[in-house]
Amino acid sequence: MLEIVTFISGLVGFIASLYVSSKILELSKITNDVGLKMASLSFVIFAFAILVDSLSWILPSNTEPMGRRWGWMRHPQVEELWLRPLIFASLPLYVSSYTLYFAGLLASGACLYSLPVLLMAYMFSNLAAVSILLAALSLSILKLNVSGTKWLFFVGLLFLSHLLSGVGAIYAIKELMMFSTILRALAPILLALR
Amino acid sequence: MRTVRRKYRSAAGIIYDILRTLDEKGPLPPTKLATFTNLPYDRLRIFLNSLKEKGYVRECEEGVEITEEGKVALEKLKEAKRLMEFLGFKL
Repeated sequence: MLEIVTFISGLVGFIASLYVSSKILELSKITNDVGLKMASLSFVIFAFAILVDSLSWILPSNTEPMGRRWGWMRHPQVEELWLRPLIFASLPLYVSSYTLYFAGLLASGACLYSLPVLLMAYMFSNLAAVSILLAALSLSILKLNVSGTKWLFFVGLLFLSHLLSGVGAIYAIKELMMFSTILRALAPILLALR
Repeated sequence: MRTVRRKYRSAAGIIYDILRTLDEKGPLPPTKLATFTNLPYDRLRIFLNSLKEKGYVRECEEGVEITEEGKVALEKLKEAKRLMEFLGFKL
């Protein structure tokens, strides 16, 4: 029953988001505001994110026996996610939508002339990566009782590389941005060499 | 020493101010419109050219005036003001 309610609310959210998007698009046509155009697009992406998210609750596609094959699948939380892979499809859509919305907000206001849109999109993407890695690190340490500290090196490298990308972009230090790419490339290379 | 932070307006906010001023005060010379909307003259010209292309304002004997299409656009902006502010876009 709750699955149906979730799907219906997702469907209503989908329609409402598209309506808001069309309203904003109409205004962006009147005003030629780049920020509003970005916000309008962000609502379209959000609409599809919420649709995919709500669909995942009525369209479970993975079967339970397959999910139970491996030991790590026996965690109840993992099982729920395993049954609904569409949830994962919605996450990048949500992140893209929020990134675009806040970049649009900045582009529409004070920062249009001081911070170009591309820079903001780059900054937000790196910020999202840093936040995800930080959350992953914290949750792994707190909830999963991960043994050893070697894996921290790998995730830490990725974390540092995205942080440096952002800083490099803000201060327009090309070398720092290149260094961050090298760090990202180094992380899997180190794993492969082990 | 206290510094006063400049308040910026969005492009949408500036267009809203221009159309609203022309609607409330009637036809105006561009210099007066620049004063009322608190815009430098050269910047106002850029916005006026864009609005003229869209058919929202036109030149007249007194200077610039709002057209019927401009009034419709202004109504749409007024209607969406609350939505925009709710989303963080200042009009």
